[in-house]
Amino acid sequence: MGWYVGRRLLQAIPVFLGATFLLYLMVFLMPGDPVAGLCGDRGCAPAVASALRSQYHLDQPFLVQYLLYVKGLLTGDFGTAYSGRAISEVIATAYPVTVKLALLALAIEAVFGIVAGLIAGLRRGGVFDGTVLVVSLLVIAVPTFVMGFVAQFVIGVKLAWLPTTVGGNQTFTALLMPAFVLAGVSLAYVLRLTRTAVAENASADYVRTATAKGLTRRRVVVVHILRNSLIPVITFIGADLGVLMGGAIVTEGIFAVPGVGNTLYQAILKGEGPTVVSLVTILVIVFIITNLLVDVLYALLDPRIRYV
Amino acid sequence: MMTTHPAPVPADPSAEAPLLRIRDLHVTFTSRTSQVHAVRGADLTIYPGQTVAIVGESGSGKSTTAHAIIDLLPGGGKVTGGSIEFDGEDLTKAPPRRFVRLRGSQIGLVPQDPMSNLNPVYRIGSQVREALRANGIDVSRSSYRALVAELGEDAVADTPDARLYLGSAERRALLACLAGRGIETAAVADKLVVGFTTRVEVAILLRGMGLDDAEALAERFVTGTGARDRVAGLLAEAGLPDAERRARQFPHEFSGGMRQRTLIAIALAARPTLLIADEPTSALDVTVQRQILDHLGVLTRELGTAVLFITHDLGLAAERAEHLVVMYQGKVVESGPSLDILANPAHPYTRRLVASAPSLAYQRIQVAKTTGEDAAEAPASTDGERSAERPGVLQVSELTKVFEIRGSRPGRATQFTAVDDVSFTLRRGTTLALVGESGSGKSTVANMVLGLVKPTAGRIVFDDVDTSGLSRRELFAFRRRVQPVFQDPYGSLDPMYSIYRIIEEPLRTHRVGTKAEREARVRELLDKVALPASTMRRYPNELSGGQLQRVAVARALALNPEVVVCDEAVSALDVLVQAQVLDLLAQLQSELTLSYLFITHDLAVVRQIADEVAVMQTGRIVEHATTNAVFDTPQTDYTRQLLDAIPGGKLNLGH
Repeated sequence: MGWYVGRRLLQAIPVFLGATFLLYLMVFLMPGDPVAGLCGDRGCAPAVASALRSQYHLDQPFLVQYLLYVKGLLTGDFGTAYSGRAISEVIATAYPVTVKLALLALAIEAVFGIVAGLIAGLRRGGVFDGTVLVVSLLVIAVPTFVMGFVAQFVIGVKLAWLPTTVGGNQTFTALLMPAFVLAGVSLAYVLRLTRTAVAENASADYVRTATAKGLTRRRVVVVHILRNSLIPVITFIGADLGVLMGGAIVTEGIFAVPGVGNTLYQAILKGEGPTVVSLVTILVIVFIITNLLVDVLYALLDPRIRYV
Repeated sequence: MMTTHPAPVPADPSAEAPLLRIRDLHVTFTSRTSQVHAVRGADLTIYPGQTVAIVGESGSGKSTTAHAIIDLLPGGGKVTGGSIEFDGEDLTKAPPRRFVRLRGSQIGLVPQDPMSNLNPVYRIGSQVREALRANGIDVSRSSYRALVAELGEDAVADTPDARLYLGSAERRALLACLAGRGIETAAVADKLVVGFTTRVEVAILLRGMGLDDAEALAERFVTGTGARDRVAGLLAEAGLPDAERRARQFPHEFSGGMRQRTLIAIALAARPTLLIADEPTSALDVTVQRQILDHLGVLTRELGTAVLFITHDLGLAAERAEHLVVMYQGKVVESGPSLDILANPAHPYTRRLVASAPSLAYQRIQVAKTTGEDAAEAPASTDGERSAERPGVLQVSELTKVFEIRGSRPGRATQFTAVDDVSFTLRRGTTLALVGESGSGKSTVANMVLGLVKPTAGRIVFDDVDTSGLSRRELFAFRRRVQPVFQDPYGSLDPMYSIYRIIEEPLRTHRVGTKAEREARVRELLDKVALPASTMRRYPNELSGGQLQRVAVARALALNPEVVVCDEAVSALDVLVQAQVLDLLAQLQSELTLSYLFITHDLAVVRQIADEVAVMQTGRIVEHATTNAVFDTPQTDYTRQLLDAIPGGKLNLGH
């Protein structure tokens, strides 16, 4: 196992370099001049513009720019945004909100998805099963922004149960509605995945044997059916953490959450290459680590898996 | 340990109240579209301590009857009539909660397939412990029913403390104490089994060694076990070696036989009075099957457990049970003492079953005699002569296959020799059987002969050409002449293909004939394997196992091969179907001068189909001779073991 984790971490190095290179290239190729927007409507004086260009290495060829950026990263320096703010500071304000939001969404999707999936799987063909299948299909089919605006309008404005937007008020209650909207689609998938796994395991031979041992129904369900059904589900949920963090752009936009999604959107609009690349690079690292954790977790959940 | 004869029937069973009495049982499976009456009027009685076997083919309702007893019918199944009286209580009227209490503690179940019946994510020990905990068993003391009886007048045995188990720490302390006195402990160590040996047994053991203070020692060192030691004891009792360490392993680290022993330990953990054994060894090799059934027989007899034994093998049933119940299409068609039924089967179905039981068959199917053709050319002489005079079509010499097994890290790979220096010759128009247990390398040989696996060393010469030197195109042509039939017809035929497409595919791949010609050929092939032409529009899931295996044979014959490699081709089939497919193979052989390389673990089948037998053990051929020679005068111990393990082989039916 130790060898396996080591090898996976080594594999992360080319992934990291490749991802940053492609990102940097894409931002470099983006139309528009980042310096042009910095001095307001009148535009910068030529001397100021050229000073800014050399400060941010914009006068250098692409490869030099990229290598200078990577050099900075390796020494722990994310560089400076064109606004003059240190990028590390931008990251430090944006990430905590998004992590909070993503973890809350993850908890919602796990709890509701697994519980509803378990009940639906045990009573396959019943009323509950039919209802959640239709609802989950609806959730998957309707775009997130529609769900977001509808929830905002009904729950936030009409019923006034929860705050409409988040903004600076990053409390649990404020984050609850965006977290539900963010979790929606994944929740539907977790539910369906759990349902299928439970239905399959419920008729497995070892479950019958467990019943024949004299176990109560509750113990058979929790210890044998649910435990075995969770193997694919937990793998899915784990891999979903990265998706939730990166995929929050729409949700964060609707609910005005000052997280990674919003910041990233603004940075793209402004053509702030280093900021975009830095934010996304961290997302890439999150993806790599969560995927590794999921693989390790998978081996712990299923003793038949051996990594060599 | 166990004799091969059934234990004597209680002198007058009617004097005792029956443990289980099933009367006119009806079970119906209801789905949205149909209703199936799986059991229609089954009657069955089991007395305490008696072993009764239900015999029947798949679909006869034997397993359904057994599952109805403990309310484990799969979805849609319901008891629709009759009564199941267990210990005087009608279970058809019992609520679900009652069954939770009955299961495990009163009625145990040993399921059919050991591979799928243990939860893969839990350790062996915890799955056994679960059975103890669910039934509230006192793990420190024995509830060995027979213990008191066995020890007779020994009054000590009757106190609860005498039935305390030896724990693992105590065992070490006791052995150290004995060693301190200068006593040789090696011999006694084997008899002190953690969680299994009781205080009174320890006392008797020590007394036998001539120790004066045996009782005092036993009292000092045997004070009862914890659950973990008791689990090890149960596993040891079921015949699992090194049980303490094994209990910490996972099911996938166990062989089929070891898993079945675990399932037996689970079923007997709470000392039920009735054990339902549902085809407990059908998935295992014959030698393992024998060991496990012997052991199960001894255990249940010592514990006084009644056994309901379910099997499709008549020979096995007759050997293991005093009383037989034959089921056919959901009905009990015949029941009575085992040997009576074997000797004088009354019902036509039972007669067919007795006639086709492979374990009771005694000679090769002689087609030439019955069809009357070619009688002069292929004389029904002894098989040895038959094969010796024929030219060889396939020569295998010094064949070796070494597999590399990945280690925990690079450079730690180990080598495993699956096939080791195997040589044989398959003669044209004859059958060579390659016999061995799982892991003996027989299937690897088959795969190499088929050109699916590359040999590490050695030569396979087909029709005087070494197959290792074949180009891609030559290999393609070679495959046309050597065709396989595999074990599992459900798995080896594409479920998305129609039967027509399955049989036609090799013809199309090899560009044989026009579309019309190919269709005619498929019709002809279906006719050859005795299936109606209408079968070709159907799909694999619509056919039974036997019909599918006929399709597999038709597919194999489509290209007019010279050699057919049958890898366990009939092992998954019911006896009657098995007999039909074997007849078909024999008939096709004489019609088309086919040569069969017949891979099987079942010596009983070999006798019916093979001219020559090669016995394989751990990758090597240990014995190779004509079928009669192998059966009549086996040369190695291993072959004798295999022969002894044929169920019912010892029953004398006056053939």
